[in-house]
Amino acid sequence: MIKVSAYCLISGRAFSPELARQKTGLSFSETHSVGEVGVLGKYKNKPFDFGFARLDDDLSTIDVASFSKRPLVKDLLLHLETLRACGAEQIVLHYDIAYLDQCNIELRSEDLKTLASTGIDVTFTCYPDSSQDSATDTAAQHAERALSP
Amino acid sequence: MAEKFRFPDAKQLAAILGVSEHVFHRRVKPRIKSDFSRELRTMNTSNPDIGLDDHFCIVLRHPETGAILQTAVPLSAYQPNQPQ
Repeated sequence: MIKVSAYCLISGRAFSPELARQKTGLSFSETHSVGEVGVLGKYKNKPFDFGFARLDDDLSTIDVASFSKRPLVKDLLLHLETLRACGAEQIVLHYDIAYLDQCNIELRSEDLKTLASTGIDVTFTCYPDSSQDSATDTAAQHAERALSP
Repeated sequence: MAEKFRFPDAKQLAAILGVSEHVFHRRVKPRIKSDFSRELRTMNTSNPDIGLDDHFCIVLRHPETGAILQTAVPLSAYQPNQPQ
């Protein structure tokens, strides 16, 4: 049994997440612009030398079985050229696959066709699902909120 | 002497940071991938293994070729809720 969730990381030396938001209407969950000072990690207290936006899957679709029929993928297909016109150089679609007992994944031909048509890299990470532990899950949600901008 | 690298599983990395595995996968790892996206591009990967060197600094490894990038950035720099 697997639970699939997805996000997309969009970046570029001149990428403007604000312009991308205005032109596409997409709601990014995280962004930073060139010159903005980071608060965490490699760029803590340093200006970013690239623009970045993260686009998340709608969590209400987390049980959608198909890899390609998710709203996130539809948004990407619709706005890919606009994102590139806003300076996006690297666009990576990522799937997290949390599994119980076994991790069996199927990419149907329609998934492959759709994903290939985006022309972007697709990555996968598989890990054992620990969300059965409700205490851990609650802590995770708290920490996730704390990390959100 | 050659430096040793460790590649703990995500659960262990999450424990080092004091976050859940879910937060590690959904929040911490994407930030690391984003911050080092250009370096990763030169390694020809977008989804590296994340490891640590002797000083608990992040090491990124190409999952297929095994090529290594030493970042000199401590994993703790990605700890949430740290003082600004």
